[in-house]
Amino acid sequence: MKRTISILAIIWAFFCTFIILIIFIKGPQFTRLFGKLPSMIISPVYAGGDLNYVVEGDSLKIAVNKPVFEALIGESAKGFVQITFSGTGNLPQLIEQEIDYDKDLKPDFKLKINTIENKTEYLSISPNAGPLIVSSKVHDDWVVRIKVRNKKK
Amino acid sequence: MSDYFTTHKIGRSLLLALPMIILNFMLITRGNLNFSGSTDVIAFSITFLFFSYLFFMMLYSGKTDKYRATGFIVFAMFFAFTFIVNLIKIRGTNTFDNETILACEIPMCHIPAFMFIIPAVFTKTIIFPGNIGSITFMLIATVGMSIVLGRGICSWGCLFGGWDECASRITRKPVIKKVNAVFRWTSFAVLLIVVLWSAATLSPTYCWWLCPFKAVTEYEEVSSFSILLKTIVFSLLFAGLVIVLPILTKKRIQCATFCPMGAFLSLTNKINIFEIRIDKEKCNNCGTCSKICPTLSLSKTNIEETRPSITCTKCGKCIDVCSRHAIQYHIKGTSVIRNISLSRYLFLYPAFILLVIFAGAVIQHGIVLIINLITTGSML
Amino acid sequence: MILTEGFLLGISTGAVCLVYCGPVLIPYLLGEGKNVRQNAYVLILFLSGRILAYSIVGFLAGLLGTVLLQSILYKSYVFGVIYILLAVLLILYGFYRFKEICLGHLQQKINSNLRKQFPRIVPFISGVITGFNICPPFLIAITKASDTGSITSGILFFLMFFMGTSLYFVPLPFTGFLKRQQVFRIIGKFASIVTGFIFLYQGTLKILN
Repeated sequence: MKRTISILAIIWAFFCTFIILIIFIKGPQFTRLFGKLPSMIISPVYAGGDLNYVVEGDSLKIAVNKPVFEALIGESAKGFVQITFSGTGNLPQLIEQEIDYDKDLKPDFKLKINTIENKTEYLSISPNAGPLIVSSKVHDDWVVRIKVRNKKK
Repeated sequence: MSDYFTTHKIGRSLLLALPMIILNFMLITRGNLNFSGSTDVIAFSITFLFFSYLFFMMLYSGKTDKYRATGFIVFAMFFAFTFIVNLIKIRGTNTFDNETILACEIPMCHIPAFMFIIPAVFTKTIIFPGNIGSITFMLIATVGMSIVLGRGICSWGCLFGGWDECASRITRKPVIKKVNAVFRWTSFAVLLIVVLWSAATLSPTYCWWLCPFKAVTEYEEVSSFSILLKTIVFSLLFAGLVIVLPILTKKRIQCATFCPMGAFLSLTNKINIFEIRIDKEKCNNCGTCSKICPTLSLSKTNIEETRPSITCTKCGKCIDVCSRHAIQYHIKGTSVIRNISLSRYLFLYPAFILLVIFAGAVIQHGIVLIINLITTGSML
Repeated sequence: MILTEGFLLGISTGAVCLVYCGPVLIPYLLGEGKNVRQNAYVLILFLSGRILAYSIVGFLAGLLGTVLLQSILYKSYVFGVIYILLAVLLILYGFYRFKEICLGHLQQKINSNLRKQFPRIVPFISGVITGFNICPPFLIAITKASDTGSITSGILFFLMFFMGTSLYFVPLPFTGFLKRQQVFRIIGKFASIVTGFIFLYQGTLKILN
């Protein structure tokens, strides 16, 4: 029995060299395979949440995401909503927009962004809309995140 | 007669190193021999010769740690150097800001993997603002490496361990002579708190707050009080745990007492086939191994139990200093007194391959950058 | 979020509880039963006592938050200061050893005859006594529960806190805790220091905000 275990252990140790080689040589294939697993998604806390609706204007496209109330279990009482402004060409210098993030047909907050000077003015209209978290250029777009209160909590 | 033995030893070592030398060639060229210019050829040649020499010398001299540490330290320095240069090429700076976070473009190393487990189970997502492809690859690589080497990763494949390894080798004798081995357990406390805090806040707490190696890679642009605090924390941790304390104690203090990934990997040492064992028959309890162990893994109790603590990183330093050859690499399930050389070869092959896979490309690229700097005056 | 926070606070500070209460409680609990089954029985009685104590404290903390603390003007400033004080205490707790901090010492003084006469009640009462433990993790939990501003949330928070801390007590009598006390002590003490710094930061942010 001892001898069998010993032989099996040596065989396993021998294969370790090949395991390391396979992991790195076949890395891209493994990445594609495991990348399809249900948990391999960036958390909406970072990715910004799913798209809720899009408003398309002449020179500006506004993507309003669904509010993110991510918590380890259930939903948290406070979260954020992400708005992405994309220009059809370059981003306009001045963006002034009222946003209805919860689709109740009433504006929840107002944004005034100067994309050249990197200045954002924010005005909360709805009591559920909290302060501005971040307003920043991201590649060719402009992304804004506003703190919002979870109505269910 | 002595010449005959030397020639015989060289021949034998060369023969045993030959498969590794061929693998070195394949791994460093990545199967592509189309060099774009003489700079690439020079960089490849230096890298290939460097790693082939290290492995050959491990077999020829019978010493592991000296040659491993050389490759490991050079790798850590070159990694930091090439990483920062590449970031400056892409972003113009090695700091990141809101734009990088919102675009999910933060590069991920192997260290945050343990923080993802609880949030992945409950929220089915990864709590890191990075590229999902590279995160997936890093997770696969970390799991694979830990299956093969356990905590051996910390001495053979870690991107940063070479920093405190280097600092711990600067002085000849330690200024602080005795470090209580009980401090090796503090990294488990960091692991516990970081795992829980990451789960509670759904953020990679260690990366945001504690990682000292942000000092030699990338860090957040200071734009608020909270970021200023983070900057102070990681700078102090880098200065204290990676530079000052390793110099004073000749121990890898950051790896031994603080790194939560190290603590996490210690747990994988339990299921790993390779380990270090002490032959009680040969050991005379001189305590040299205990004194020089860089990760505080060999206490008196461990020596009595004939195996180091689970925190052992399999660096081989204790094996090299033991004058009675009482310590050796061992394959679990086999006899401690037989197959000593076989166990060492079977461990060295995957461990060294790991080092070459990570370090080969990095060092080669670093040499190209240095040659460019010398010849053109610019690395960018 | 309340449930998660309570549970995680329980786990993160439970290591500290273990350092101080483990050496006192575990030999006591093990001394009660002669085999694993009896140990488990005693442990269940003990934990039932703790759950009762925690529910009472949760209720009181929630009440305190609803009635008093929610109405004060500079709420976040007050909570910030409390957090900072408790964080400092937690850090000190990590560096020094306070021998009498665990009320578990009390039950060592309970007459052994009483244990024989009331084998079910004594472990339960011990659980209740140790449930009211005035140590920094417990005080932090009280502050957090008060901060929720609701009685239900306060009780829920403490029940989850109980579950988090109990994780350390349940398996330990059976997994050689006594043999490795020093290891658990150093992990617990260092965890206490790190947790202290986290609360120090949270308190500072509360004041600055």
